[in-house]
Amino acid sequence: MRVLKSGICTIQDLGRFGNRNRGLPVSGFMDPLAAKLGNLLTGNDSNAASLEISRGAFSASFETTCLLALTGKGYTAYISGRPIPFYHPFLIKAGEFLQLFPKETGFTYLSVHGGIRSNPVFGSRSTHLASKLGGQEGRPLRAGDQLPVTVLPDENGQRIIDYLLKASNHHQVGLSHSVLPDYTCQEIRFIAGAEYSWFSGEALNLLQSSGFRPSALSNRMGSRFTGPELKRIHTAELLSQAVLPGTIQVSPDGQLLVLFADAQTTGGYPRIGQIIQADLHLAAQCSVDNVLHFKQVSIENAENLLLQQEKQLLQLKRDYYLYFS
Amino acid sequence: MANEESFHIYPIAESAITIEYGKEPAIAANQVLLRFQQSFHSVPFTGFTDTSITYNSLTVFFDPGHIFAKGQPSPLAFVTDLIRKRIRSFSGSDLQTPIPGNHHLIPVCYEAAMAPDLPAVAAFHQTSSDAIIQAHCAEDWYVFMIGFNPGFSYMGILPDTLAMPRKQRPALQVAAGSVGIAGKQTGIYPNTSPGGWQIIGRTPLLVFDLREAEPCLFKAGDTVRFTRIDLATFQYLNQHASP
Repeated sequence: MRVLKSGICTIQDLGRFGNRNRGLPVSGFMDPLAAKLGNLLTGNDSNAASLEISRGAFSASFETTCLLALTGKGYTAYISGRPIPFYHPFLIKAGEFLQLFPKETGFTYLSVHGGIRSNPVFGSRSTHLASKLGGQEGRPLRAGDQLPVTVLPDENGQRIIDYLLKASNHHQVGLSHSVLPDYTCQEIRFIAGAEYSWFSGEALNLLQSSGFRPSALSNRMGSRFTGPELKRIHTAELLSQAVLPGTIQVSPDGQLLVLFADAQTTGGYPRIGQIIQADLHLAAQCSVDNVLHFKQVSIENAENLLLQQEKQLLQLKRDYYLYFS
Repeated sequence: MANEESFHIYPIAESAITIEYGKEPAIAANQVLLRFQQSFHSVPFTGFTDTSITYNSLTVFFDPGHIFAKGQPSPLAFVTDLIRKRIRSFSGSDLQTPIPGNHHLIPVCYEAAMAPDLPAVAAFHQTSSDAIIQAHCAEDWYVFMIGFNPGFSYMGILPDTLAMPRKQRPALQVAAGSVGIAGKQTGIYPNTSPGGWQIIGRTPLLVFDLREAEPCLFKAGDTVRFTRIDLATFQYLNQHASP
């Protein structure tokens, strides 16, 4: 696979675990749900490395026939002028070009059967740009990059490819709307953070009753959300504590700082909340013209919602493979 | 048996549970948490992914989906219970035995060009720059944690005669290797980055190097003694790429 044009595009997988005590962030997919669905559609494990495309036009050519899928948000895609739907597996033939054009803010995932076979670093292929680690030499992709992909499909992949090779089946199979992420949802659920009680009753009310708008200053590490000033009643300085993707910190000027995939490992701002894992992809895909509302749930509820999501993915995977067998 | 009551155990996410121990930075408390940390890494439970140690807490990370798939209806309840049992399995004397860390002798150049905030620190304490340097080199500092950025070390505990609040406005660019002070902490910036610590010197050594099998020079539990070098020695020892 050869990159011809690349906006801001990095190689990511589920992330680099086990390195927090070196201060290395987890990194990985900003929208893990979309990326997992893409990997499912191309017959991969959830952790297979994919391309995360987030700004500017992207195009690539392929030397062999490849099984691909596009998921996430923000782009429209074409092969030789023919539009390619998202959340459908599709084939690209040797010599064809895949072109992606930005439509709105968001992260789009290009999954390829077998995954992008770049060298793992500390157990992961995820790119962490700030420490120039992982992916393609620790940097965003650029025109001319040649990415290693699997030449021989495995059994599941071959079945999907055989199915799609019958021309009449092209684009016929895809995920139903009910299992796709609903990016129009503007309600993000959270659990109380460890320093929740450091805030005034008024601030805690405002957190749930106001709308918050992501600022333009956002990246894979986190985003600042603009809203009413959230005042503290307990003003002691916090000893740095563990933070993770989804942690909602409050800056000294009372604004929300939401951490994402490249979150630092520890932080010294009070943690007012933690976005539930089942909703984190929605917050990460939120664009500047959205207004988010936060809604508090219990930790038990958060855990159940996550496990439901996991179960649904497993069931979907079984059904999907069954379809081709 | 370790007194479970002194540990505050609570989830911070579906995949992370914190063990908090004490309210203030203390070497003895950090050593107890290090002991637990080693235990989780050397005998990991099913679904364990990582830990993160800070001054007064250890957070245990795990994969809820994996634990659920192994038949646990609530991964949080399962790991909380497991942490409590693990804590109870330590005897009081287990927890008092110090954990041997590495000791590092770190050369630091405190010359003006590399110590933009040294005069301010000296002025803050109404003393000379030399006195500040002497005090900074006079004791072994204990490494409590690595965090924030890859390889960033938090050491202490600085005496009141050295401690100084961080800057009101962070510097946009702090050079790699810069040695700083913030409150009762001292530490080294591994890479050039913005930063709010008061910079009093620079080490020529790389403290974070991805070419190494272990990129981090320090880990929690190590001790560090700084030693003063001049500019010529800095240049001779310099491992940082020229900007």
